[in-house]
Amino acid sequence: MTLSVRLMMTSDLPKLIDLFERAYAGYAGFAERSVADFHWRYLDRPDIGKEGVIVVEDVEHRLIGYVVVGTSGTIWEFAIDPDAERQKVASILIAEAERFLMGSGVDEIVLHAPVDDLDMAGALQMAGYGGGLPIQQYLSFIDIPRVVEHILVKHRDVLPGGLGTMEFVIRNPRAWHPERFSPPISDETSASTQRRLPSIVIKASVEALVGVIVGSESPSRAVASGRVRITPLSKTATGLKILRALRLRDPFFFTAADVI
Amino acid sequence: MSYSYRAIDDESDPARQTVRDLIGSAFGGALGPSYWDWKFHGDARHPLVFVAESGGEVVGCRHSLVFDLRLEAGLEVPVLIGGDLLVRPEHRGHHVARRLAAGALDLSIQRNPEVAAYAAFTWPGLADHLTRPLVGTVPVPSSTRRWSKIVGWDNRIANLSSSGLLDDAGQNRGVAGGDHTMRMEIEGAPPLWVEIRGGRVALSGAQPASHEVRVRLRRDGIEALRSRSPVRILRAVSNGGIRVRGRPRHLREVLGARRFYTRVLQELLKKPSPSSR
Repeated sequence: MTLSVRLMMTSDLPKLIDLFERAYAGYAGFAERSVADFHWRYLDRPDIGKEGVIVVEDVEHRLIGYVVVGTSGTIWEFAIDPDAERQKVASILIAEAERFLMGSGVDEIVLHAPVDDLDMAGALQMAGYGGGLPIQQYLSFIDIPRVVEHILVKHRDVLPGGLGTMEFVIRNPRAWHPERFSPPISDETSASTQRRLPSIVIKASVEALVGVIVGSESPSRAVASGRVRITPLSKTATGLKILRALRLRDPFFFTAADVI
Repeated sequence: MSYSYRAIDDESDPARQTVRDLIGSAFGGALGPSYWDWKFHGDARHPLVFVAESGGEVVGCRHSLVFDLRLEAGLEVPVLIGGDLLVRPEHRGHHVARRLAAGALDLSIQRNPEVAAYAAFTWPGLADHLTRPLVGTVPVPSSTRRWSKIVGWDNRIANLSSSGLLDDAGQNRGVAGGDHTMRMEIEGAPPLWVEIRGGRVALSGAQPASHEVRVRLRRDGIEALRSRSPVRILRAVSNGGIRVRGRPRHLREVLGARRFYTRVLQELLKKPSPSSR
């Protein structure tokens, strides 16, 4: 397949956003991309500009890959069409990025890629790159009730039926956290039990609850260690199902440009 | 010393220039004032520049921005990202950093009530002492891998060769009597040859006629060597993070010169400062 390489044009912007969406559809943990965000994040960035955004097209002039390169030596972002010959496109993007950077006198080239992107890993290894750990991403929730509600509504399919009213109690609330809250996840039974005593109470620290949500804390281990307490004891199994339903499903990946 | 804390909202506030200078002196290069201007002016979303002052002078700063964070497909929440925490060295030890971070966080939440999450990219020490007590952050299991390649290898070798460090290391770090040539393959960098003859050391990126020892280092192997922990080094040797090939006599010589090699490695992998590039 004959592929061509060129610099981006302003009219490419929506296609780049679309490509990013498709390339990272199975991931989370990064800032949502939009035309306005791309403009600010890359085109306005002091070490990039339009000449730092290189795109690859196939014979039908479909945009199948791009790379955003900064003269600071950072490949801020890349995306490759999942349906393209990914390793081949990755090798082209890496070579173009290096060509761009060699003239800028950089000492080291750095980029981020998903751990399980074997096509990119293969292309990078062939080009002489070495992999390591990135800077650590930390997360917490300011509006815990809203986040819990959104996740439970989205993961309703794995919530046990006939749940009744659940209540979360935060052991160490900060000034902006409520001490307790009941997510309005109503099924047939919970609608009628809204004003009664909660049928299940989950008590946890902010850190334990956030840990369960982002996947750094196993629900069963959190309960076994007492970091999360479920009452009444007879509802432990149901409580564990709720905690498992809270866990986010997509792995977290962030591009170098997400590290602000 | 007494400190006061405030946000800089006015573009014409002269304290802005002081913050730019502070950022420039702390980070410099690509992360200097122009990078800061981009981040906290123009189309950035809800930027907050928060400063600590003492005697009418800016002595520290903290910044934040708001984005939409994807928690999973179809679920995004506004997230507050804190960064660029700086305190002038002479004002450290007075809890300025903690108050800066707390003040900036409170104000950001007041100004952006829609914010549902808080994120930071930082080091474990700072997270444990600052963001965890403040907002309850936890490390997120990451599917991100950082890849890098040193392209200024020749410059690094030349800088190291001309720094006098090799002579010093050769004299003080036990390379006398251990004549050999080593091919060193460091992940993410072109091969390097180290020649030790009669206590004199030469580094080169050009392949000599032959070599007696070949060492391959992956990133985890380098980290193990840096840690100096025998357990980690042994583990790296057993899982291929450190691979050494050569005749036993030469391997003994390399082992004898391990302090020298660790020092060379340390210097070579140190990113040169922008001014020395």
